[in-house]
Amino acid sequence: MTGNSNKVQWPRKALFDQIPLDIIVIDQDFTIIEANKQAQKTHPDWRGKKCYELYHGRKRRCPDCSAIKTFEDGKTRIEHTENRDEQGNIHHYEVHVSAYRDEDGNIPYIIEMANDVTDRVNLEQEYRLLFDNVPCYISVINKNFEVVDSNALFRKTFAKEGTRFCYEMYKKRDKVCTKCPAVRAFKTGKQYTSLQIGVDKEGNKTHYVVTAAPHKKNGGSVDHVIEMSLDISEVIQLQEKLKQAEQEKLENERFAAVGQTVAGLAHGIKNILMGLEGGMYVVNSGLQRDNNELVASGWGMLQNNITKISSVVKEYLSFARGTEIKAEIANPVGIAQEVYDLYKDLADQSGISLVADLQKGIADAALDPEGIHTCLANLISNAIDACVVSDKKRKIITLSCHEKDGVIVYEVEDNGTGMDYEVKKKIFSNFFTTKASGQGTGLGLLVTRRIVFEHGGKVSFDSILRKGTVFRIELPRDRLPKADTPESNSDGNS
Amino acid sequence: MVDKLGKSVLVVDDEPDLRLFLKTVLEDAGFDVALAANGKEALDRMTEKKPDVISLDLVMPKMSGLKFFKYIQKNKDRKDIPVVVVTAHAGDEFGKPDLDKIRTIRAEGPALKVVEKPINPPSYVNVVRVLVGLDELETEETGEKNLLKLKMKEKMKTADKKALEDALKILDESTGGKKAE
Repeated sequence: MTGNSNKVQWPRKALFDQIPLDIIVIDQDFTIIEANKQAQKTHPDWRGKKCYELYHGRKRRCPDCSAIKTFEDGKTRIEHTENRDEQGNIHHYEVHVSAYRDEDGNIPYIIEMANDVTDRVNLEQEYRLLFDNVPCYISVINKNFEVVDSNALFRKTFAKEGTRFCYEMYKKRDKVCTKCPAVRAFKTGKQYTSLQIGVDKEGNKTHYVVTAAPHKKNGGSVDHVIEMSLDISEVIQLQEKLKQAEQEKLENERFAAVGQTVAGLAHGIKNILMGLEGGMYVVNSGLQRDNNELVASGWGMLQNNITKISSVVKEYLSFARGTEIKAEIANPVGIAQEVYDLYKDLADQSGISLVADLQKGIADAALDPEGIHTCLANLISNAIDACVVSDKKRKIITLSCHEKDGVIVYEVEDNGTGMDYEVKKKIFSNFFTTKASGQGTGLGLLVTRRIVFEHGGKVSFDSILRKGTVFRIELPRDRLPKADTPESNSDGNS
Repeated sequence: MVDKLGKSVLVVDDEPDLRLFLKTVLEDAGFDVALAANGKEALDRMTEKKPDVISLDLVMPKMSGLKFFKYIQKNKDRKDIPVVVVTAHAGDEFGKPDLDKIRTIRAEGPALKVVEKPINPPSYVNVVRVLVGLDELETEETGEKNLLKLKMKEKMKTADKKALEDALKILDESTGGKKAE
């Protein structure tokens, strides 16, 4: 080529020098006989050196040298090499090795054009590092659902030896999964995310959120889908533990409530017994004093306490029997409406206006309608009593039902006597009642609290002495019990 | 009818049944009785007539027994009236804290007694009698108790081995030698 260099026209010579590749020409001895300016930049001392000497610091030809083959067959080859620059940095090259034929068809020279692809290689390495070490499973699948590439975490978790298809690996199935996000991504070219349950190599259940991202290599139809899955098994486990803990807490509370009631029952019965003994004493004393009025009063005491016994037994039975509520799909507002209808007249008779403030459009929920009915009836009955003993002119009770942030809220508000500190302290205690003998057993609020607890909710109240009281039942939807529906039973049989 | 003692008791209790019961018991024992359903009413009754003893419930709406007790401590005329606390909650969370507070204001003794429900009429009457400075009456309970006390005292004096053996022998003979069988 040196001999012909004079013939090279200036634009071609400029092209040779300015093309952004390192170009060298070697003869059959692998001696460099020509180098363009770019090549000279990195290796100014190129003249007369062998290529393996200059680029690889070797004394002999490189094994697997592409140039040898190209000298033999004249075919163009691409090889990847790397070498260190003067600063000792490794550079990656993509080298085009092509033959120069003379007029007789012999190959006296070979032209090597090297492209510095260091940046690209570094980028690829970074990408690979990310691909392998990102804490999620990544697999690239083709249209046949074969996994053509995957990251280390995926292989470690799912890829059993001898498996090829994504459904084999992810789920140990032998055909494409139903509701596969990749199928949809192939079809529409859009990205899909879904929650899946897979089976790992050891056969353990694995919960993961998979995003199937379509990849169009040539801008045409989707030829690959990249599946990226985030393992949320631990989150699910924690969730289940939390649920279990809440359930246990609920049960403990329930047990405690029952225990308190049993203890309270003994106490209540003791009080009643005392009422009976007292009544007997008063009757006897009246007879001895020949005082009919006193006999009648004593007799009244006996009657009161017998009534009390029967209502305690009734309420206690309802308390004891109802250790398990029967939830069914019911409308929260419907129940409130029923209770309102039931108590409207009674309130009127006592000179109290009962007002309903029920939000429209509250969705059905899994409730024990009878239980909630009992709760609201208890609260309204208490409110009526609080109004009856108050000396206000306008006595109002408002029953409201509304929903906020997924919590169904019932409120019973009265403008009756309100409660002082002592009463507030004790209202949820067994058999605590401020009502006159025979009118209250003190179980009503306890029963209410028990039923609300079992719905996963809570009862609270605000009360100001002489201003009034508001009782509040809050039922978060996500803590409600499961409805006992016939469908779920038949489900179990199928 | 019993002779009047000329002493008055103010019974403060929110339970009408119990009020009537205590009133009857005290009247039968010769006391004059005034009734109040809560602390507030009790203050009204006291302005009408100063009682010799107050029978006080602890757990009451409107004004609790403790509040009432604290309130009368502020009045020079009333603060020394003997009090018998009548409660079903002497040992539980509803009554004990209040009762303990009362005890820090006035030590249990000649001017403060505590009677637990259920009420035994004769012993309740005796407590009230002691508070107004009268002797206890002999009741079935106190009678038995006194007898037992005397017997125990006697035994304790001679509690040596020989005396106990003698006592056993006597017991043996009195049961007709059943022990031998």
